[in-house]
Amino acid sequence: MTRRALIGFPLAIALLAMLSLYRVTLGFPVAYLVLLTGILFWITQSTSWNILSGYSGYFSFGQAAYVGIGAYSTAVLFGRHGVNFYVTMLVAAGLSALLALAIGGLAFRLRSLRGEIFALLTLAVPFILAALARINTGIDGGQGIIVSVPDFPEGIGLFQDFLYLISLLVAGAAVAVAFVMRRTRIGWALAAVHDAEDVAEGLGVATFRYKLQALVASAVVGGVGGAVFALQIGFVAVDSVFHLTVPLFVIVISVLGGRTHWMGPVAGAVLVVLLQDRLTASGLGEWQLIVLGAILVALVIVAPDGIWAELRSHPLVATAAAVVVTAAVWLIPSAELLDAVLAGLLAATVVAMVRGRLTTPPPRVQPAETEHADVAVPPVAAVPIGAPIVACTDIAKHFGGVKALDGVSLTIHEGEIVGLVGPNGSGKSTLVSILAGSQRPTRGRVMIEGRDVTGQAPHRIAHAGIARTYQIPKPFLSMTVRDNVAMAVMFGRTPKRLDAARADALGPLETVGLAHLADAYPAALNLHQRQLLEIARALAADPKVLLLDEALAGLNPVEIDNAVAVIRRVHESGVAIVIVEHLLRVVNQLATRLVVLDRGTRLADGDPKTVLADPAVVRAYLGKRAHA
Amino acid sequence: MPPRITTANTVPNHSNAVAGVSALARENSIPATAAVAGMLFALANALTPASAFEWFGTVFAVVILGGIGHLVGTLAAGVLVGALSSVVSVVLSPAAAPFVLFSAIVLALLLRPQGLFTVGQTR
Repeated sequence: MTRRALIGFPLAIALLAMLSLYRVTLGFPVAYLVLLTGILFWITQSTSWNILSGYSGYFSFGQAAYVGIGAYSTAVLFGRHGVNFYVTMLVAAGLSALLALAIGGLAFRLRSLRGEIFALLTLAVPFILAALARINTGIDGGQGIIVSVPDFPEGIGLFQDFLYLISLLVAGAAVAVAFVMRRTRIGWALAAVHDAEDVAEGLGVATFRYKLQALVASAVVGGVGGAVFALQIGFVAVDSVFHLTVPLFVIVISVLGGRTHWMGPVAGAVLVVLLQDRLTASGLGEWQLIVLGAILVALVIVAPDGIWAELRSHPLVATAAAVVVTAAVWLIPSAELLDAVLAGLLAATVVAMVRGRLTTPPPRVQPAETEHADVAVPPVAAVPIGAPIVACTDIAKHFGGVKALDGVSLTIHEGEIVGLVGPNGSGKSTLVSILAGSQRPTRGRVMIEGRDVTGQAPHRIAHAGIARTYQIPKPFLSMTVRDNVAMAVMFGRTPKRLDAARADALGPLETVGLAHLADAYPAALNLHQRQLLEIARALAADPKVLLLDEALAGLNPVEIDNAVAVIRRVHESGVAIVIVEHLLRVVNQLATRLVVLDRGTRLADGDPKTVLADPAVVRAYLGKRAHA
Repeated sequence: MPPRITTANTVPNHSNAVAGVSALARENSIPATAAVAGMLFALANALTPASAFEWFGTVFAVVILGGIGHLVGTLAAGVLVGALSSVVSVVLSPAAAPFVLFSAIVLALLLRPQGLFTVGQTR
């Protein structure tokens, strides 16, 4: 696949370049070149958007900021002060990158950043920049700037040829960046962020770094594209570059084409721009916008994963339909080449979609009964208790006036299974979140093997040796079971390549008894299997302490027995375990030590038998439960 | 050169009302409220199909600043946003209004992402 891309990609660029270089020989009209240049601009911008927003799911409404910065860099420096055009492209890239660093550095640091906050932040930026350009006479002053034609090498032909070739170069580079990012670690990291960001961070993915890298890459691509855009429009004014149609168009193109694939924006841009051009030429007048909108809405509804996904799953049928329909339409005397191409493209999409709906989907993996441990497990774990691994002292966590935790200390030793119990609202889950680093304690310290990790990012704590599962399983839905586990290996303490990580993923899957479902997608798993997947994923991070947050909730008795056997196996492999659980039967069976929390304080800590006989525990926890 | 006067700043008093009302409309998903806001807007301003774009940012901002799901917060944020842009238009220049307004919005988002008037910290 990679080799195919290495050959196919330069070939495609070369073929497209030939359209201009041998334009006269081929008899290729300049008007088509203008249209292609327009398509290339939108390919560049949509790819730029897709690198961050499509891959990671953080929708940005600020694409116009990069277009504006790029266009004004060229307009002011080249158009007004005569600086070399290529230098202004570099300046555009640099300024865009700076802006991205500022936005990302501020926004991605917010612990409570939600998608809509990011969307609004990015929406506000172009407004600010537009106002700045309008006020500042050194930039624009509200007059607009004329951008003349730069010097270009002889032999290229017309200015339009030069513009086309440089747009092709920029768009090609943009798609190449998107391709490489998708195929490397950063692509996997962004896909994990898209599916379940906090899980990814907890497994050791440095999400902040990867998001920032994606944002900067997106900005550089967008800025350079904006610089070329200044040449394309010839007259740069605030309203023409900082307009809201830029982000809206870019989002439509990327979503329509398909956000998860690097080719998605390319397919989307070709279709949308061609459609718009044909509608303009059709003499519908103002109606064309209504028709365009209706077609786009219909396409997004019938192909929510994007047209590229549909075309790719039925390449032969789609190509055949495209060729036949293009040829047929071209034979109609009144039709133009572009009409034929557009008809072919639409036909291919429709045929691929119909074909996809008609063919029966591949049989869903039958969630087979999970393997049962047929070995009789010894009732008490024979693992010796060793040195302390995790020690937290005097942990407090306040939410406004509510004290979820108030001065709790807890030490976890090698070889232990600590049962963490307590009534609802006693602070168990908060303590787990603080141990895993996803919440900062208001007061107190967390030490792992003598190293203070209080307030460190969760991925660092994961690398230090703590892994957790979630009460409600949060698998990466876009990845197979094997890749879910491989993610934790890839981004673990010692980073590994994908192939090695996939091989290593089998071990944890066998431990939990999910190896036979390695190639299934999480959607096909039942609750029990999803919880086992959570455990396998956490194990793959090679933890010293495993935090199980209500890993048995909602299971039937047979499944509980199976889960208990799995937890035993994990424990015997040398991992200390903290298990948060309501079912006392299970905790009694498993735990070597019991810690009882009540209203944010530690009520008891010790041998299960002694603790359960403690009158205070009976009153606070068991008594209340018995009466409930 | 005379300052460029944008539609949004022509009638400052109405900006308040429209921002507030249309923000409320979004929150309650009552298209009728948005239509009323649109009517008010049309009474006071020159109307073009592109006017909607100018409001996209402002309305979105007002809802988030007020805190999603908080009716009174949205109303207050609407008044605040309208007042701020009017004051800047008069004191500085109409062209500076979007700059100050959106800078304030960015600051507010960074400092209080849970909404301006939400008490306490959400989990």
